[in-house]
Amino acid sequence: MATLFDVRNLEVKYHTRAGVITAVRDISFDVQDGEILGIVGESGCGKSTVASAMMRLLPPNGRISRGQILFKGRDLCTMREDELRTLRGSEISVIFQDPMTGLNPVFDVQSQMLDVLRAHTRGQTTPSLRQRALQMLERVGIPDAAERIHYYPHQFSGGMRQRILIAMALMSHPAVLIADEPTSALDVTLEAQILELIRGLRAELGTAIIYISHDLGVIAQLCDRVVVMYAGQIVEKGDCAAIFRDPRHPYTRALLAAHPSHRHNVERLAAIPGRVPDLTALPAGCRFADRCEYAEPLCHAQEPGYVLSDGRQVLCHAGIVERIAGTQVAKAGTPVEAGPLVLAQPQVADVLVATEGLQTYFRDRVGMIAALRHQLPAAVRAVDGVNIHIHRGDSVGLVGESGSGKTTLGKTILRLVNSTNGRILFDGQDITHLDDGSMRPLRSRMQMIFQDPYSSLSPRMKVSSLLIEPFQIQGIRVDPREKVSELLAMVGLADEQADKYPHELSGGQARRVGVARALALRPEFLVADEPTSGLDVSVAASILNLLKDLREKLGLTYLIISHSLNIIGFVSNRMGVMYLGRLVEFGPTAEIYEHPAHPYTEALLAAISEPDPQMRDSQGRRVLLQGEIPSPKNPPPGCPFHPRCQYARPDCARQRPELTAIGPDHLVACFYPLCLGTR
Amino acid sequence: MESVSRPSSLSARLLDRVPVLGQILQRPLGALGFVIVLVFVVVTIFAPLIAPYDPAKQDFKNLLTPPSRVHILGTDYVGRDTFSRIVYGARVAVEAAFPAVSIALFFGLLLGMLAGYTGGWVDGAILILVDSIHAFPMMILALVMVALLGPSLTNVVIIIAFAMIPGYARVTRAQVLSVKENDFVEAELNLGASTARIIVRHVLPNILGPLVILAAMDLPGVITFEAALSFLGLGVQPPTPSWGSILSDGFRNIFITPWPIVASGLTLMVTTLGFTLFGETLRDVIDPRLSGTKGI
Amino acid sequence: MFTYILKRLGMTALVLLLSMVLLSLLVQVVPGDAAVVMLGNRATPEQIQKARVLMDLDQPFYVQVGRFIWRALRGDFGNDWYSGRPIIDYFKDVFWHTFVLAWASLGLAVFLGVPLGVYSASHPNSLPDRLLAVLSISFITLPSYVAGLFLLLLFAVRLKVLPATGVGNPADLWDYARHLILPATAMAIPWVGYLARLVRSSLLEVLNSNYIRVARAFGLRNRLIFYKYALKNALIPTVAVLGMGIGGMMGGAMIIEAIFARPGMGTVMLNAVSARNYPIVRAGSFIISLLFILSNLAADISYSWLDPRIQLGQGRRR
Repeated sequence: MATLFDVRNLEVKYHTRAGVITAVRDISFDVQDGEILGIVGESGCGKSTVASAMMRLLPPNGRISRGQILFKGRDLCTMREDELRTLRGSEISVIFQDPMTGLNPVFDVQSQMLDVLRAHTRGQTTPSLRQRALQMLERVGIPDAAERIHYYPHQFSGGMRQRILIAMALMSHPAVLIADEPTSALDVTLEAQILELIRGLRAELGTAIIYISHDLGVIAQLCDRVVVMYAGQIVEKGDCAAIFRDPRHPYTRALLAAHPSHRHNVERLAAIPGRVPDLTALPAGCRFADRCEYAEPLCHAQEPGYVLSDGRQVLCHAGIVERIAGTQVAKAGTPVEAGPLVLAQPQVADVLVATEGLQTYFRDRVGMIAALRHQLPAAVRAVDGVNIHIHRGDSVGLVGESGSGKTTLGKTILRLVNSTNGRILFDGQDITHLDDGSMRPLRSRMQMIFQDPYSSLSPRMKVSSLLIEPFQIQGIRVDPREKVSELLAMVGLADEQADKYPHELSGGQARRVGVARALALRPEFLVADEPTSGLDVSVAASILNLLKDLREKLGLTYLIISHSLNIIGFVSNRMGVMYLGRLVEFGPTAEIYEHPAHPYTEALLAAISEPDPQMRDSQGRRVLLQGEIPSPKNPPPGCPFHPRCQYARPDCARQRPELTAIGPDHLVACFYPLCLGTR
Repeated sequence: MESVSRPSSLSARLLDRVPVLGQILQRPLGALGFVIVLVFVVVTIFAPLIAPYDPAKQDFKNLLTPPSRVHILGTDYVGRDTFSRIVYGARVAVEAAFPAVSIALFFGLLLGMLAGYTGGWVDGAILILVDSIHAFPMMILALVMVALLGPSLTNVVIIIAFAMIPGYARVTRAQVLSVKENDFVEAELNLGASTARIIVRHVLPNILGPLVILAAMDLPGVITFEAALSFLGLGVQPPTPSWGSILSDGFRNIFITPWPIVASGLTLMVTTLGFTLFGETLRDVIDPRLSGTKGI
Repeated sequence: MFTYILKRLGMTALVLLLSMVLLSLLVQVVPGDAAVVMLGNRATPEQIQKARVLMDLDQPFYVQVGRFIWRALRGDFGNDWYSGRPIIDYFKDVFWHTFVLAWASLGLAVFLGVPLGVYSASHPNSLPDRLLAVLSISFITLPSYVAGLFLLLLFAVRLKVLPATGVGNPADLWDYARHLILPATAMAIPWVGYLARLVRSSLLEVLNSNYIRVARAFGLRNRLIFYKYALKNALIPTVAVLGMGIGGMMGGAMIIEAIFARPGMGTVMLNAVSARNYPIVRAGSFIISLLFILSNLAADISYSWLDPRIQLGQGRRR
């Protein structure tokens, strides 16, 4: 195998208003022909900087200050711009994270693809180039390619656009493809499709791939070798399977331990204390020492070098590596046996929140003329008839992809969004049509933690004011300083955070403030909308632990909304799966994970990427979902899932299945549920 | 990040107190704008002390004289001192611009908030109303008003205010809509906050900033417009000195002496330049995100 | 697309209707007898009565507005009180001059401003760029009438190289053009500054976007990226602004016409105002507002024609 890329001691600096920042230091790795190399790390570790540097496409204030990047023996750092341009797109290709903005909106797909081809080929006629482009589009799975090639980007969905970008990147059969978080913005089933596509193309074209991601699961499933980065340095490098099975750097170990997984049921996640160091104020010695559970005095004084340990390069002091070698990745706390989270058994009389036939439709503003003619535009059926029961003390997880309506359901239950039909019952009381005045006392009993912590905190109010406000609204007298202290302590924040404005807080801190505010009035019912979105694994772990602890301490009932099955698996005892506004399965979490009854649930579970490379080959039972989620404005007739269901039968298109029990506590909306063996 | 160590002198402490001002002064164009605005303010306030002559005093022995030691900028066609007239003209500019913008801002804010927050048919109705006012070029509006009511300073203020309301209403509405998108409005509703509370404590503080900056940046345009109206004889009437009327007097005698035109023209230029520079730097310092097209 | 135009036309008609209503409302708001106010104190009772009839002041409000608009759309604004000529003729005589002036100014502004903006964006933060920035701001803050006066002073009075007044002989193209130079330049100056800045900032913003980064990553040449990929995106809002500007120019043309003593819509209106000849003022307002609204409409339509996202509706998927 030939060496395609040989990066040696790469160092990149950025010139910012705050001074010169060394984003990455001493980066050395190589990429072999045809292999998939993963670069994994949390946000700010410098992985994207490495990718940009390898293409020599750093932003204007970035500079490669040291090192070499050898591509097939030639040093890219010393090449002239026009030479580099001939390489880009033809020998080295890139796909980036956000497909929605990756294509030029004012030109159609064909002209953009032809421009790329023309930049790298000479003397070819337009028809032959067009043929190449068409072939590639078909290969990446664009239906009706011959017609759609004339479409404009905005006429394609996000998943389609990413496919088009992949097609453009691979059109010239490059030797290597750099993929910088290409699926982070996509739904999980879509991600599975794209990953499968990438694997297929690699097998067909022999392209080497450098896959950059923060998602340990994806990296584990995809890569041959892996590079782990932290705070601008490579901390571990080597064979993928080996590193995941037996990580030797403390950070890699901690990262794996903090990753929630429904396969290993634990009491608490092992969160990593502390924060990623500020690159302008680095500590002396090892950059990870402050957060490391194996740290010794040496670590704070002297920077480590690379140590070879069983085929891996590890950036750590030799003594520590020896200590680590051989021990299993310990997950904090005792593993609980696979089974439902131990809680009081739900009793029928104890239902706290329930909905009956709940529908929430959104309609675009209707023009006067259309209204007169009764021509209503199609409504977005965000919630399309949901019956759900949440017992007191439950932690119910709600999982689904975009367009499933899970967030809207949460907001509708809290009466933040007006329902179109159906009933909402809280503690036995019908709250569907209560006016603001009657709702106000109830609001102190049901609260929400919002998805985006920054936008849900009023930007011009200090934390202390934000935390006091609930009491002011409800007309309750409290001692401000005492109360604020109490609330901050409850979520693990120091008193000094009270005087800060939201934009001065970190992501994790802002989220905790959101939790504190939601808890201020001591509600009974809490809806958490994507509690860990945008957070790094280590920070997410601590938030999830916090949620768990608070529930036990305060006896809360949760509705946790997430697209991640791993999170739901860790933090909820019962769960519901939503698709296109309908609840398709509902029951105990463990039961559903072991025996999913609905084909969609099965597909979701199969799409999870586990950080366990050994699982890679057990994809025999992999259920790859085809197509994309239909528009909620126009759901398919009958069962909304039937067009994509591999088990579908004719009558699935005619009638809508309702939630029916297939077990004592397990409901499914399907005519031919899986575990009844009626496949 | 590390703070730059500052010298501890009075000026430094002053700059500390008004950090925004300090940042403006750090930029050369901003500093220039600030100086000009400062001069303008001083001239307006201390006009009687600065102007050597009574701006209305006529002197038939010195008609249309060029600049001299007696009259710094010369005299106009009835012997009035140009320099004094310009000094007092600044007052007229202020008397027209500030009330007009303030009134427009107030009503625009009101309408925009009503439209943005209420939505529905109220929003649609206000939009159409606002659009129809917007359909008139300001000058036409002015002509109509003057044709009906006659020229005067008060009418100028009314015209300008009326013509500017749609702009502010639209921007306010856009701001309200974008603030409404934010989750914190939902969060407040979640806590049971009343609509009034949300508007006053959460929406208003977040939209006032951009609006005030916008108004500040509109000032030069208003001053220019008032001068244009006076130039055409549609604004303040003699003997009140407006930069526009000085221009028109000079225009009538353009072949005899250029000085009234040069003097008042340059003054207008410099003043609008100063306000524009100051306003833009203010905006860049406070909220760089605003430097895009005006809200739609 | 077609329905879009139709909708916009409908909105336009509505807005125009409302504008005229507002205009008529203003007449009602005037204290005292509207006719007396307009004609002045020296009018005789017969003249006042005649005026009242001509302006339908005795009729109910909606009749006033309705009649006016109905007739206006057919070009019938009645006859002038004093001369008896159809009012429309006053405007017909001079419309062309204003039209040419407005378009000449716009053309000049685009011809100078857009390339300057493009140049600035291609060499950001260089010395020429900074100089141009200062120049642009100076141009923007120079009101067109002040510029007009200065130009007049310099070129017509002092240097005597260009004519000071009038439109010249329309049959003689060169003469006509000579008379157009100073006024068009005066009106163009603020626009040059504005366009240069607008194009520069639009381009820089576009150059920062994701798809430009992707295009670079695919190895496209810099020229292609700048002049094809970036420019088209950046010019779209510029075109929209220009479309609105053309209407605004109609208003600004008034003062310029006054300064350069050019016959035009502006001069007709101004004379009518000093004579307190309200019917002419009203007719002129209607025409100019109509032109203004139409030019906005044209801008909207061209905007949607250039930007495929709007042209083809909301796009297919989410």
